[in-house]
Amino acid sequence: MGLGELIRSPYLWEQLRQASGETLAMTFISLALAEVIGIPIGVWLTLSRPGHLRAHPAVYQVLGTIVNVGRSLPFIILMVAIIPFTRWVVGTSIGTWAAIVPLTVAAIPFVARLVETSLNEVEWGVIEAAQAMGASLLQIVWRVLLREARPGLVAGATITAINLIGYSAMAGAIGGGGLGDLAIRYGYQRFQPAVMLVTLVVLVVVVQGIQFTGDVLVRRLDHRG
Amino acid sequence: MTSTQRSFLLSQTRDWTPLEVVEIATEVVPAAASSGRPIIEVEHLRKSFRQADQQVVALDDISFQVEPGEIFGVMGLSGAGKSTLIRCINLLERPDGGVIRVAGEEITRLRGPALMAARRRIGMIFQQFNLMASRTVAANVAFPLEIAGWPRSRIRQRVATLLELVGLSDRANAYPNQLSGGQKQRVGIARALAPEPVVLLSDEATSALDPETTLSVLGLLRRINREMGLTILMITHEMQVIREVCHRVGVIDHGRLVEVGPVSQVFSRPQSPMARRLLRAHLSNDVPADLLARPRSDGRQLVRLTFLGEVAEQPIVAQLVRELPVLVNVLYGRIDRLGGQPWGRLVVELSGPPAAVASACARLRREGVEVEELGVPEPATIQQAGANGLGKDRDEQDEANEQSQLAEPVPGVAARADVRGGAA
Ligand SMILES: Nc1ncnc2c1ncn2[C@@H]1O[C@H](COP(=O)(O)OP(=O)(O)OP(=O)(O)O)[C@@H](O)[C@H]1O
Ligand SMILES: [Mg+2]
Repeated sequence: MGLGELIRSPYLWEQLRQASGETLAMTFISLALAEVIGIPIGVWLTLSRPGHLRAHPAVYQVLGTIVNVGRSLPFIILMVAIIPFTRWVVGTSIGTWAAIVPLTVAAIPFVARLVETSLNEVEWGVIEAAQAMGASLLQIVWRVLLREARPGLVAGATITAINLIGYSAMAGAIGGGGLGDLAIRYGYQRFQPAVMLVTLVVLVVVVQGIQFTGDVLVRRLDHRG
Repeated sequence: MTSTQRSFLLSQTRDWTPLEVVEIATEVVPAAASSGRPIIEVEHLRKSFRQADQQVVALDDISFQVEPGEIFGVMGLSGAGKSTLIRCINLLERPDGGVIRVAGEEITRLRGPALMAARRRIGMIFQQFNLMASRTVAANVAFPLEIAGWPRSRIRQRVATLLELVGLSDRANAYPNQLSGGQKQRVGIARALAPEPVVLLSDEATSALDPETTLSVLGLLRRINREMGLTILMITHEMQVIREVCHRVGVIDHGRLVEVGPVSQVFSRPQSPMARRLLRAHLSNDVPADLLARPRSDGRQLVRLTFLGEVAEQPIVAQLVRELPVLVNVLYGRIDRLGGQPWGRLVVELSGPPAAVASACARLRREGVEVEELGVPEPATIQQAGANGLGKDRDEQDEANEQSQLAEPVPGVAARADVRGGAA
C-alpha cells in the first residue's frame, strides 16, 4: 500500500483513532494513578530529609533507595517481572488495562523524585513563616508545600506524561494496544512503512500537545521570581 | 580656617534651643512601665547548637522582660544570637533550658496543638518577608486566618481592614512578585497582625530595605504600636532602627544579654563595652582629633554637652551666655531622638575668665546637662587611634565602619567633621 492509498483507507483511520484512544487512556490513567501514589511518597521523602520538618535519616535513606531501584529497572523488564501482580490486579496480562499496571508502577518512583525536587524548591523561610503562624504539619503540606510547588509539580507531570507515552508504545508491543502497537504490527511486521510514518506523526503531535498544555499551565501558575 | 569662621556665637541667637532646629515629636514612653505583668518574660534562657564537632553557645542565660505596649529592641553584632533569641520566643527554636512566658502562658511547656494555638497569638515578620508566591496579597493576609479556621466572610472583612491599615487596598489582587520590598513587608505586617496577636516579633524586618523604605515601614510599626498598643520585640543590627522606634533596648554580646535599658539611656550613656562599641560610630566620636590636639590658650575650655529629655527644650546655653561673661563657640552639634525623647549633643569651646568658665560648667550641670571636659583626648579616642594603626584590630574597625554607614547624621544641623566622615 502506498501513502496516498493509505490515507484514503477508512480502515486505517479507524485503526489510528482507536490506537490513539488507547495510548491516551494508558498514559493519563497511569499518570493519574502514579501521581496519586507518587505525591505522598514525594512528600514523605521531602519531610524526612535531614533538616526538614520530620527529619528521619533512616526513613529517608530506605525510601530513597527503593525509589532509586524502581527508577533504574528497565521498563521492559519491569513489565515482564510484574506480570503475576498485573494478573492479580486486572485479571489478565494482556490488553490496555493490563498495560496500565506496569506503566503506573514504573511511573511512581519517577513521580516521587520529581515531587521531592519540586517541594525542596519551596523556600524554607515560607515554611517557617507558616509554622510561626501556627500551621499544623498537614496544613503546611497542603497549603504551603504542595501549593507553592504547583508550577514544578505541573512541569513534572508533563515530563511524566510524555515518558509514559514512550513506555506505552513498549507496553503496546506485548498486546497493550495503542499507537506503538499499531506501528509495530503494520509498520514492522507487515512491512508497511507508510503506516509507521503516519503513526509517528500522530505520536509527535500528541507529545507536542501535552508539552504545550503543560507549559501554558506552568506559566499561568508561576508567580515566582 | 579659624574657629570663628566656622562657628557662630550662641549669644546672637537668643532663644535658640538645640531641639527647635528640627521638628521633633516628643513621644511619651507607653504606660507600659506602670501597668501589671510583663507580656514577654524570659528567664535563664539557654540554647546551643552543634556545629561540626563543636558546641556553639548561641544564648547564655538570658533573662529580660518586655512590658505591654512597648517596642523593645535587641541589638548585637552578627552571630551574637539575636535571631536565635527571637526564634525561641515562638519556639521556632526550642531552648535547651529556661522559661519563656508570653501573656502569662508558659510557651516553653507547650507542644502540638497548644503550641500552634499559642503561636497564633504571636505575630512575626521577617527580613526576607517570606510571603507565599502562589497567593495574592489578600490571600497571603488571609492565610493565618484560614489555618485558624475563621469563616470566609469574617476573613474577607479582616483582610480588607488590614490592607487598608497598611495602605495596600489597591494591590489586594497583586502577587508578591509584583510588589516592591517595602510593599512586601507591609503585606508581611498585615499578615502578622491578622489573627490579632498580643505581640509582634520582628527579625531584621527592615534590613533588606533601602533607608527611605525603612523609615516608612518603621513609621507603620510605630503607628501600630501607638494606635493598637501592640507590643513589639524587634531585633536589628541597625542602630538607626532602634533609635527611631524602640523604647527600650537590650544588647547581646556572644549570647549574653549585657545591657538593658531605655534607648535614651543606653544610647547616651552605654555601660557595657559592647554597647559602647556598637554605638561608638553612631553617636560619639564627635570631636575631630585635630581639634583636641590643638593647644588651647588659658581661659578656653572644650566641653561636650549632652542634653536629654526636657533639658533639650530649654534655651539653657543662650541664658548662660546672657548671664555669665563667657562666650560659647559651637564646634559640633547633633540633634536626634532617642527612644522617643529629644536628645542633643554639642561640643563647644567656652571662653572667658577661668572662674566664669568653671561656674558656667557647674550651672549647666545643675540644669541637668551632662558636661564632659575635653581638655585631653578621652580614653576611647586613644584606643581607637591605636586600632587604626594595628592591623590586628582591622575587623573590629571594619565592623564599626559598617555601623557608621547606617548611622546618618541629621542633615543641616551639624557638619560632621570627624575622621570617618567620608565613610558615612
Ligand atoms: N540552626 C543552627 N545550627 C547551628 N548553628 C546555629 C544555628 N542557628 C544559629 N547558629 C549559631 O548560633 C549563633 C547565633 O546565631 P544567630 O543567627 O542567632 O545570630 P544573629 O545575632 O541573629 O546574627 P545576624 O546578625 O548575622 O543575623 C551563631 O554562632 C550561629 O552560627
Ligand atoms: Mg539574625
